[in-house]
Amino acid sequence: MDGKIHTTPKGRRLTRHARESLIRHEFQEPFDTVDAIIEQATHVTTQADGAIVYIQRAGRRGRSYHMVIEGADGIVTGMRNLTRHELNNLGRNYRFDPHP
Amino acid sequence: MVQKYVLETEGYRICFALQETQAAKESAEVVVELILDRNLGDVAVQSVPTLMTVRDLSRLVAYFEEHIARLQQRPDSESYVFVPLELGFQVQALAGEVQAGDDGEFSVRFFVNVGESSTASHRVYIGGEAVVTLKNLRVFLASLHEALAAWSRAHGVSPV
Repeated sequence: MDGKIHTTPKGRRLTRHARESLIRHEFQEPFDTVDAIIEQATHVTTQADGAIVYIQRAGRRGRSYHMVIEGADGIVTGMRNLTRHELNNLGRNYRFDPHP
Repeated sequence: MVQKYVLETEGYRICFALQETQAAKESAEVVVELILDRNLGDVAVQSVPTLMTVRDLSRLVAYFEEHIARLQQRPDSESYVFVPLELGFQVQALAGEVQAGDDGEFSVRFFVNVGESSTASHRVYIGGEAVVTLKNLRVFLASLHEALAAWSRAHGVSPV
């Protein structure tokens, strides 16, 4: 073993990219917040490449969004406190409907 | 090793500094710096380090190439806001005048993610808008093409 966490506490696989990006986005190991966003998602949608996008309304007065993307190889990334504008930009770039 | 890729506009320079990371196969760490033209003031703003995937780099090249093609037909075209997956920067290609070949120019808006606000942890972006000539854009795109080819040779990862 390399000492790195390869899955979330609920057993969802993390890609190498996710292991690095989640830390940068201030998710703390063991990444239980990733499981929480997926399980408490207010919208679930799909990117054009088939990856699943979990979106959870959050923050002050529910005006920001947490997001986790899960592809065929596992969790790709996660971000917290996205503004509606950022979420819309990601939707446009990665071709998913941010407000299904 | 840090590799730098520079986009020169008529008002500012954008410098992408890419460095390999542990997740090197599909992504590199990028710091994007916006440096104002010296004649306009002594201002430089650097993004927080974020990851940029090889796919994002390839998408950025395609974004500009598609915008140039569109402007030849419709000079008032404004492209959508390009963002990489990790939101290290935002760029939007705007209206301009483009003829065949390398003759032309258009406006480009560029914002870098400088970190999170202390109140609500929302990302804060600082940026500018200026004209970029097709000639300078082509130089930048050629350097990105070379970066993609080198990435593919080193890691066997193609930007699908």
